[in-house]
Amino acid sequence: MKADGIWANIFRLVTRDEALAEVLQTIPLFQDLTPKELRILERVVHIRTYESGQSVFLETEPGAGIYVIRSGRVEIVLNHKTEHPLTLAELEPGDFFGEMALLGYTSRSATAVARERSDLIGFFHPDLIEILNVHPSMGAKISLGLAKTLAERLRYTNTQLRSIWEFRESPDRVHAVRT
Amino acid sequence: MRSAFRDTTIRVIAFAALLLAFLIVFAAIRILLVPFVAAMFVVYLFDPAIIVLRRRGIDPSNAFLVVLFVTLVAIGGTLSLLPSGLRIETLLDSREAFTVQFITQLDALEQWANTKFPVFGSMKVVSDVNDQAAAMTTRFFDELPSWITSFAVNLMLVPFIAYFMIRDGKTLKRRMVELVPNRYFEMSLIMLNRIDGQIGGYLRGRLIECILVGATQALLMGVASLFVPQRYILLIAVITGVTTMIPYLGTVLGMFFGAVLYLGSGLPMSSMYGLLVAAVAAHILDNVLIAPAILSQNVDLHPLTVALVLIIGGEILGALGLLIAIPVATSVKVVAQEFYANYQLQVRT
Repeated sequence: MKADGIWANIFRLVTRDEALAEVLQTIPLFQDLTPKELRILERVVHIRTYESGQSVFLETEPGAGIYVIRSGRVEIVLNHKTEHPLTLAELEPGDFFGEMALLGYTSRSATAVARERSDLIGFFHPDLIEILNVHPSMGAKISLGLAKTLAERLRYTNTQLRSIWEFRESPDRVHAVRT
Repeated sequence: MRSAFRDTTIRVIAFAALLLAFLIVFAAIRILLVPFVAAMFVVYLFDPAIIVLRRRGIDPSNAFLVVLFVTLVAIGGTLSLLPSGLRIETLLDSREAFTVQFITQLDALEQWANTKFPVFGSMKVVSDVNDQAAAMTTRFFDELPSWITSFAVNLMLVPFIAYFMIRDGKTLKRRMVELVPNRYFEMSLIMLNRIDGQIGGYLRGRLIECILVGATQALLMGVASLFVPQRYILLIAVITGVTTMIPYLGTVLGMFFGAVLYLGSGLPMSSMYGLLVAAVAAHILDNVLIAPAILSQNVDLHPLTVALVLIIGGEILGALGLLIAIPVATSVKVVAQEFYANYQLQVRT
């Protein structure tokens, strides 16, 4: 009976680690990492549990890194504690947020709130710096992944801005405003 | 204006309370403090070399052992190759002559001072020094065995503690951070990282400063020896380098050591002037060139704060207090800054 308990515990740990590596590998930042590098990453990341309604971080608060949703649901909100909060995104398992703070201790641009009990994987700036120091090639892969992600986000923002600009300049819109 | 005043008051009270708490805890665990602090110094100083070895795939604890071995060999090799002038035995051998010459020189200095500055009244330094020296010698020889024992125990404990700090330090830090509530989790990560960076940078910067100040002192005494006789150049330079670890007071302590040595060595007063000029020049060079270049980015403490924490540290923990006062004050400042920023954010939202 006792042996079963030990075996169950071992199997549970293995399953947990495999799941962690699987989740991490789906993130663009970490998708080029080898299995060995993913194991190093597993030892570096922090796993945090947030209850429903609990904020992960607040707008303007100094941030230290990225969060990956392992389970649960997280909402990204602007003007969180005002009368008119604006929900920017609703994120699900496998999604990630807060990657800008990974580059350095920058202020959070929005608030992240857990909408149900959520397990998050946190990877932070000091950990990235240590990886860059000790495992430079792994650090370079993560940095490149981060650069790609931020470039993708910038491209998306540019597209959105272009759409807004085109809408503002379009004759139909001018006509619509006049009538 | 009123709000700014209130903010500053809160800052000062928070800082003072945290400083007091730290000092009480430190004083309470005084016995274990020396080996732990020494081990922390070793860990911070060895860290860059350990990272280099870790890049080559060596395990952190093995990397520490390699760095420790290389350091011990380097220290042992340097000590065995030291010129006789640097060795302390030369002083201990002639202890009787040293004391007699020291008293004679001090007597001459006292007479000179009494002639030149009669306004201060008659000085009686020599008789006081004689009494003090006798008492100090008795105490020294009484306490010497226990000092040697505690030094030997500490010397063995330090690498042992440092080894486990290197091996398990990261895991321990992670476990500690895991205990922090979600609300303060990122703040504590940022805080720990900033403290780590500041203390590491400060200690490594101080080490480089010590080496450079010692080298400058040796160089300037070498230049002085072209004009007036100079002895124990390397010994005084090493002592000055080591004492430089203590901000402001260090240079004075090094200079004081050199002055006592010269008074007891029967060297003419011109040699003493040469030594003092070299020491003052080294101090100026340290303040103008060396320290700003090395330390400016590591510790952001006001000179008055530095003086205050040195006095408090020295009063509570003696020499050890002087050494750890700045790192402790820096840590307290970082903690206070982070808590204050968080408090302000909570007030705003």
